[in-house]
Amino acid sequence: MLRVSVKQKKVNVGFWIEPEVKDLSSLSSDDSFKWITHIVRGAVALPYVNSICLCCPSGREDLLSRVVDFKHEKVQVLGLKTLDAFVYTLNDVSDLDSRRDKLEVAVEKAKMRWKPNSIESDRRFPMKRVLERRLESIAIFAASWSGYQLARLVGFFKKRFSNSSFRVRFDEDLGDAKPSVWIVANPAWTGAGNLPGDRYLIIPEVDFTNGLMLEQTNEWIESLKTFIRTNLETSKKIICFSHEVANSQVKPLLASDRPVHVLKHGVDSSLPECAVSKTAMADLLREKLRTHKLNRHFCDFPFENVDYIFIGDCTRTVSGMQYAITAYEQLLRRYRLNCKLFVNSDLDSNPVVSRLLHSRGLVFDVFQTPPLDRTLYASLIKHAKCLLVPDRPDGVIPISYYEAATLGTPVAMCKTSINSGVYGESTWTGREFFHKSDPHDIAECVRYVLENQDEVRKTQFEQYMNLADRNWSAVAEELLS
Amino acid sequence: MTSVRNPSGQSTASIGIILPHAYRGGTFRLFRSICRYFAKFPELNVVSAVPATGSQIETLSEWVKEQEFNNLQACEFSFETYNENEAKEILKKSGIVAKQFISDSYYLPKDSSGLLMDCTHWFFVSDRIMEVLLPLKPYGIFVTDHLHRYYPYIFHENAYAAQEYCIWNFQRNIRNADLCVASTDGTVEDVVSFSGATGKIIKVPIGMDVEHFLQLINKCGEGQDGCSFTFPYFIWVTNSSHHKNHENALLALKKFFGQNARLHIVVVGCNTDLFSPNIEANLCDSRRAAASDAYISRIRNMIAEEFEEYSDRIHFEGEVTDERYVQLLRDAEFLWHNVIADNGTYSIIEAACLGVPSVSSNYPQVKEICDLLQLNVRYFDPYDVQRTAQALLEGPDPSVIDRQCTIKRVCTTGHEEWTDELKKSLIEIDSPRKCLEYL
Repeated sequence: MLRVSVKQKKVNVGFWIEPEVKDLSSLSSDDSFKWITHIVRGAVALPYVNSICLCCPSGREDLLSRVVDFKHEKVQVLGLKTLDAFVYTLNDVSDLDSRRDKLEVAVEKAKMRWKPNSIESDRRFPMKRVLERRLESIAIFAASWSGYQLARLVGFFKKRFSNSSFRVRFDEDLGDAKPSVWIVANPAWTGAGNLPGDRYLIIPEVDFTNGLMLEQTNEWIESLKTFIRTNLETSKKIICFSHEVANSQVKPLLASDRPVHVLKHGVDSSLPECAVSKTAMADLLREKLRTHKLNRHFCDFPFENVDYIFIGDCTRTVSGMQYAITAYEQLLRRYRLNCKLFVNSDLDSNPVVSRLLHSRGLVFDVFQTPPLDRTLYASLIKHAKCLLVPDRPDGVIPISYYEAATLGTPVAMCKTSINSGVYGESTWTGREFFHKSDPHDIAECVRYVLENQDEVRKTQFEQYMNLADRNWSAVAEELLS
Repeated sequence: MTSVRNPSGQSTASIGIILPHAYRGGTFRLFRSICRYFAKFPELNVVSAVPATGSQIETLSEWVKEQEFNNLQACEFSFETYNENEAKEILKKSGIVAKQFISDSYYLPKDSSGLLMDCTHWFFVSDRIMEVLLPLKPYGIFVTDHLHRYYPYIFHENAYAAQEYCIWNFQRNIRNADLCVASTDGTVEDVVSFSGATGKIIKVPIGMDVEHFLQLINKCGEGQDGCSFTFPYFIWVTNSSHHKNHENALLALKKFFGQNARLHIVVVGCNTDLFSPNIEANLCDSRRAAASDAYISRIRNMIAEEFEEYSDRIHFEGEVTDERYVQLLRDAEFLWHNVIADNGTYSIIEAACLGVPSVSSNYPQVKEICDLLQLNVRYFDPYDVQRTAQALLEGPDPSVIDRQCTIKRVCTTGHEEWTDELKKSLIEIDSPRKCLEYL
């Protein structure tokens, strides 16, 4: 419930956002972005919130505006023009040198300044080979990656291997709306490192052991932990979505006994209003496929005639997606479920997943949606036989779970170590939950959900109703209090 | 469009029935059945076309002569390939507009006498057309199966990239087709949800050439000319295609042999003799090449290693004559049908016509056919070796097959019983679509 704040000081709230992938569909389905969207909607309703500034690297404002699909006089989207970064290369790696041209192009695309340097002079550098492989990966994939995916990596290297300045200058752009509170919804967004004012760090989870592309060495994980530790220490407030993450993932990283706040999600009951009929949805999809980038197979596909399972959130782990695809293969081929798999992501941008799809001959049955607006997103959930959530942070009920409940679509979701009671999770143990690393269990779970749709839908709607009185203004209020 | 008159002087449509590949066996019989089906309508002229690359023209011409129809003729054809610019030019001359050309190459079926280009409609028996058709005529496709959806390695193991290209073309042809025809609900569903057909879709009965099989039974003389085996056995009708699930089947068979000391197995089908570890040394060149195929070699090695102690209980017959097939089938205790996926099988029906029960892998098409014909088949999951072995041990459903009733029911599914829906559905498409969004 919205609490009444008496004599609350007016605040300007800033959100630092790094759109780190090229594809809008991935962004719009990312729980962090959804969370930001909902929080912004909730925060504008708070009388003491004077202005909300959504900041991102320059050139991504349009993308951000579409992701955070919300207009209000209090809200402005700002691209910050100065983004400095350094890139280190290994001068003695001839292969890498030969690829530098491509890398430079990609860095230029990312509107970053290219400053070659010699790693040999840096005594703090402990893992030359690791870096070498990273940079080689960048060079190899530079041509196909977006600048910001690259920028994220480059930023990471910068943080990991150097303490030179990497910062955002914004004073000249924000004027009176300069935020006194910054919300950073992802602890890996390096651009937020030197933001002035109070910084609230949101941590959905600390698990970057399965990120896109990167090799998961112990050294890499350790270096990331170091970065997050620094980030935690310099933040005014630390917020998680579950006690599980707070206690088992975040607190062990803290040097002091600082409080970690747990902020549960609210619900958005407006999504059903956005959904259109299946025929209209099919028309919109085909139109998108014509205008976005021509998909030879699906450009004129009769989507209205097929059943499908929908993965609405897939900016999670590569392995989660691999298990889900393997499970789908079982459903299609072994259990002969005549259903397609629609995935709200550009899977082809990930070589591991793309290779899996091609090698298993699933490219004609797994449909990667074009960038989705709210109408298409809501419609795709509404008309799905089942929403599949293959992977998610521990202890967190994903926003899409509630979205599906409001749209009447049953959900098959991975099990999580929920023990906090925040969401009344003791009942979240039915057969509609699966072990996320067991494709057979995922397939069995989806079969159960499809065969018991009414029952599952009813249970999940009841779960939704438990939260139905908590709107996002209440969440924003709690966040800013 | 060319106006055609049949010998009676009646104004008519002219249908080109086209077999896209030099198929033999079941698909060729289906092709002939479809030619016969259309030729039954005297108002139609029917041109039956087989690829010039194969040797079917002689068989086909002979068969056409034997038929009682005078509106049926045979020809050879080839697909001519065109690039985008050539395709645009051809379509322009025909007054057809395609907004976007999204295919790499285009096909037109051509014969030396121009018979196919004179046809008013085309009907392809099989969707396995390697490039995208230029739709100069309204066309229909008989979609035999969508095996590649369930077993994507059927064409060449580890060559999926090329296969993806082929499958894309298959799908594009189905999507551009004015009419798609399939014989099972499962395949109809695949045509919709896998290929995204946008034209009319109809389902026809399975179209088994019942007459042919009943003639064979009579020819073999019931109860006479036994197969000459003196041991009890069950028969595995298969071939060397990968989707026939040989590896799982053999693992299950080994378990079965371990617990059943009585039954032998007789393996029948094209190239299955090449699975035998005792393969003959004096094979001809083409057979030697087939024998050295990686998949066949793998299965042969598996049999050599895993079945040494049971080698006297596996009998590889290879491809046999129709008569020998009937003899082997008739004397079997039951038939084993083990595939990952297929468009059903005639072998279970043929077995039932001989009073032989079946144990079969469970997939929608076979279940649909067996339910329709009330064949009491014992099913198993082809992915589950243990359950497959268990099904073999339990043997077929003990209820007795009433042969005469089965034959009566089977006769209702033959192409002779097809209604005129297929003809009407094709003929009612009176001209090619003038404007296509994508080609």
